[in-house]
Amino acid sequence: MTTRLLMATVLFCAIGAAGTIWPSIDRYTATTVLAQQPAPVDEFVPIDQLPPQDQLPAAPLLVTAYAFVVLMLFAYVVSLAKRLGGVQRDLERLQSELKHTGRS
Amino acid sequence: MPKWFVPLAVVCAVMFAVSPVLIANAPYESTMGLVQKIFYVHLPSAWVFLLGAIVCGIASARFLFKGDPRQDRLAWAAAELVVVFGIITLVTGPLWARKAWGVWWQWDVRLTSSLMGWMVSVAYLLLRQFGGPGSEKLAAGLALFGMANVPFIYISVNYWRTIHPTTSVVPTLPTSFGLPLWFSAIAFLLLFVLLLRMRVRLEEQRATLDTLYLSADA
Amino acid sequence: MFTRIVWLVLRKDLMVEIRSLEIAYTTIFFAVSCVLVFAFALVQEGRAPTDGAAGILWIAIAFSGTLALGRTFERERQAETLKALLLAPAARPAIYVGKLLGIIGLMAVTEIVLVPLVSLFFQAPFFTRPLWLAAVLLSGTIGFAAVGTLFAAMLVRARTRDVLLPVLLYPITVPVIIAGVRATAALLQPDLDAGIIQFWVALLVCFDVVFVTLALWTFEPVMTD
Repeated sequence: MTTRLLMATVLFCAIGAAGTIWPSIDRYTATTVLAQQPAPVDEFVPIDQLPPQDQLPAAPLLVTAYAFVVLMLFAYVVSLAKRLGGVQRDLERLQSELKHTGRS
Repeated sequence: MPKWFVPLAVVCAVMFAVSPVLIANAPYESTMGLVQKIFYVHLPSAWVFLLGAIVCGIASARFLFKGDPRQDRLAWAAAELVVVFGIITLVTGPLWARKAWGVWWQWDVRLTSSLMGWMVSVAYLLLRQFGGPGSEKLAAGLALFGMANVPFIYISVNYWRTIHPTTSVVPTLPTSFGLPLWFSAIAFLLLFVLLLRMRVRLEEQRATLDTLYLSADA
Repeated sequence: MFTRIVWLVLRKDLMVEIRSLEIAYTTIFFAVSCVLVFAFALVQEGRAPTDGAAGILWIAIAFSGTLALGRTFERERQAETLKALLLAPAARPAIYVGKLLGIIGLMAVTEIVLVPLVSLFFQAPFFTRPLWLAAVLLSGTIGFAAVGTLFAAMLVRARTRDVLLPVLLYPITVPVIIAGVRATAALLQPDLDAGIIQFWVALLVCFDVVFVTLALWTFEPVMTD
């Protein structure tokens, strides 16, 4: 049962993480003024010095990528939990049956 | 489940909750801009993908020559994670490439060898799933051959011009880029360990179930 | 002792094959129809695509090789002779080498038919450098067959062996296909660049050495229940 609880926690955090990243993406794409960024080191130019067409089309790609990662991991954890639950159920049923018939 | 599982899961969950903040606050890279942030999931998942393949290969070799069923279960679990993290790597990569290189896919050495490695692990899972009894040894042989194949794929594909950023970029990254990357990498590593343990657990339960069925029939 | 077992296994396979010629005929015919399909698909207005011949040759080799591998071991399975062979007090690696040589022979026969055919249909000057061509084909065939023989032998016990053989074999033999196609394409160039062909043949030879060694090493544990 602890496994289930843990997985739920992990999932919740993953979804929460996805939620936290949304506003920041929104912020960067909705406005082209991005002066609040910390000054980057060396050859990395702050984004506000770039032509605006370089910034905008990237957002859907980025969102797709992060959404895919979250969904993929979510789907995998769910499938794993399902399979674990199924095997656990079979195991318990079989054990009780064995006990019932008086063998171990 | 072992004792370390719960604390590790909590740490992993916290790290996954914190890493988006770090990633969002990381500065923009000058030439690629926003899309470069895919890098913080693409590279860690690629590393975990590679790690899973190595675990699978070593476990398979040990199973084949020592015959320890625990190694076989580990190999199966690792192969499944290789497929999962491989999909993540292979999907996030083109999304980045679309912006950075202007193409979705390039027959470059690292992309092609990742794809072939992923294909081998899918073949491994297909073999485990549909091979019927006795397929575990065959799968172990396949994993071993897949491992031995990596340098050949790498060399043969390398003959074409490569445009993938080289690995030497990573250590020279400024800390503002490096911190979220390493943080994310550790989070992925923890996730890999946790999922691997859970997947091995599934196989252990199945093995117990099989022995119980056998004892019930006897 | 080792070479004697190899020879006995090889002779047994050859004798069974020569009596019926079933696998040889079906494989060659399959390879020919494969090339024809490519000819219908790719040759337009009587002109073949440049560099297409090398790729078509290797696809036909890979496909017909898979068919030959599957059929060879299917025959062993039907009569349970593979089990009998493995029960014999003979070294497993020797049995593997015997089977491997048989497959290589079969694929070589197919290639002898295929090369002129592709050369004819796709106007490819394959025969200007026969020695290089032989080197590329031989090293590529050994690499493909080395992996294929082991996998086909392993899959004899598996339920869905017909589907699984190509599924397992093609991802592993990607370097062979790449190297074979590139080397053959380099052969077809009007001005021969020996360095490129040398590189690919060297890669193929390395592949052969590594994978034959690995197969000899794993054949024993894999074929033991």
